[in-house]
Amino acid sequence: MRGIAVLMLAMLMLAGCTQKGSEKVVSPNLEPVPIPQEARCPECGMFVKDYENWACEVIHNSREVKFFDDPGDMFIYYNKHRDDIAQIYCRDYYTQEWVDAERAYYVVDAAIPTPMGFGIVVFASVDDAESFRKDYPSGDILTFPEVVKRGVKPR
Amino acid sequence: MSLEKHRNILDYAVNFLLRRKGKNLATIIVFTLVVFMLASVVMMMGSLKQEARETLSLAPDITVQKIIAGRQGLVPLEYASAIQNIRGVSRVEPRIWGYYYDVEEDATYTIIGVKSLDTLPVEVVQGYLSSGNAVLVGEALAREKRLRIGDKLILRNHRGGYDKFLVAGIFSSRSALQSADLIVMPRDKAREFFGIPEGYANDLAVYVANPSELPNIAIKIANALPDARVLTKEQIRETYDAIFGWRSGVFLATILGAILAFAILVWDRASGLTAEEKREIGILKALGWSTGDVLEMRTFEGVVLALNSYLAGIILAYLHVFYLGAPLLKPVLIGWSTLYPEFELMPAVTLEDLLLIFVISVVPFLAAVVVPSWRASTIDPDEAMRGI
Repeated sequence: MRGIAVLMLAMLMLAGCTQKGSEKVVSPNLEPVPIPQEARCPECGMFVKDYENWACEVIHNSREVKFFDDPGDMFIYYNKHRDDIAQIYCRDYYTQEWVDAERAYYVVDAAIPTPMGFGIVVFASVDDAESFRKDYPSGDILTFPEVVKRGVKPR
Repeated sequence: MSLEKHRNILDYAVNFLLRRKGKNLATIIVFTLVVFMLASVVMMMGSLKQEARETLSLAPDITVQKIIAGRQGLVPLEYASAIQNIRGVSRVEPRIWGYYYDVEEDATYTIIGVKSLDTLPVEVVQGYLSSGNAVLVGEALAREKRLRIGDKLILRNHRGGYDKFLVAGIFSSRSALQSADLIVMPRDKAREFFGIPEGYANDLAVYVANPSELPNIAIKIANALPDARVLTKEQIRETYDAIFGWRSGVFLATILGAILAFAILVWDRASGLTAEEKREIGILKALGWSTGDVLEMRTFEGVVLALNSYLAGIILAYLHVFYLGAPLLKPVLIGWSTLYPEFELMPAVTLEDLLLIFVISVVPFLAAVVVPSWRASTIDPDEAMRGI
């Protein structure tokens, strides 16, 4: 039986040792950067790559980039580190392109299923946000400062 | 000196195996056969699933067809602009494609019209792309019709006339299934060849940027165009899975007999420690072997038998499936084998597959070898030698 145990252990180790610790990612020119496979959200600890279509990036004054898997997590982080942030990007829900988060429009409704249940969806234009709100009539369309003022909470 | 002890135990185990050559050889052969059959099925299904996945990865997110009186009809291009206006749709592409029956070869080819021949997602042997009648053909088709790059391909068009095409390239795609019987030509040529009127297409390929929005967009299209059939990638994937699931079920049923035979063999070994084997264990214990030593000896023995058979079975299955094209299993896949007589399976073996086979063959076998010896070695040596 010992033989089997050793073999199983060896296989488990083989499967487990591919994981690496997350390294610091920087964006020297404040441009959005691709999401690394091992990047975790600093607020909830989830792997961001798995929820790429909800992702946000916060670039600090030091040009260090943090990745988030839900816009709600980004707002919580923003409230804590407000003075040390140079640029924020979020993915537009429809086009999946990076948009400047501080100029984006947010449809907020607890009924919208998002990775962390904050119910916040990002749009580059107010038209897109209006169109999306037709699917969630109880939602509100807010700007960045309005979301910050109202605060975010998970469902 | 404990290493020396283990070496001696191993030595004893090997001698023990050699003493019962006939019986152990039979075990190895049966074991290898079972692993071989199991692994053949698992590898073949894995390979087919891989093919399907690759085909699917090229499929659009949503396919829109028009249904007239319950049958598929041509889609007017106005539908494309209606869909383009839905937010979240990144691209709508009208597709022109169809089947062509070749009387000479008694084979059906798929003709696909594309916007431009040089922006294809598949690897192409570069050829005479610039010619007006350039087409790209699949590998199997080229082999059957003995076509080489630069040759002429003559096809009968919808009016009964003959159109001459120039073979500009032959697909050397990694995946044989999706390009074996393919003819790719510019979209206008395909439209002309099939006689599809301007302003219509066979179906619409819709691409969506955000996968989370995909189901919503599918619903919006279905609501806006009541006579359209909307197929998402997910639905197509489920259909594939159902087909493959059914096929693997048929396969597994056919080898159930083999698995049963194996179970009987294992049971036989498990329940039937011969009186001779029991006595041997008794003598070893009387000589001062501990229960642990006996177990180690038996484990070594089991591991040697099981690993050899497992490896032999896996290697044989690999050769059978990927070099010989699974001749023993092919008859079961009737539809597939008549469609693609020359179709080769691409090697696709995952660690999971190997582990699965390991778990259902080697682990029970080892248990069957070790557990009864453990029972035998815990009884009193005196009793064991007297042969109770």
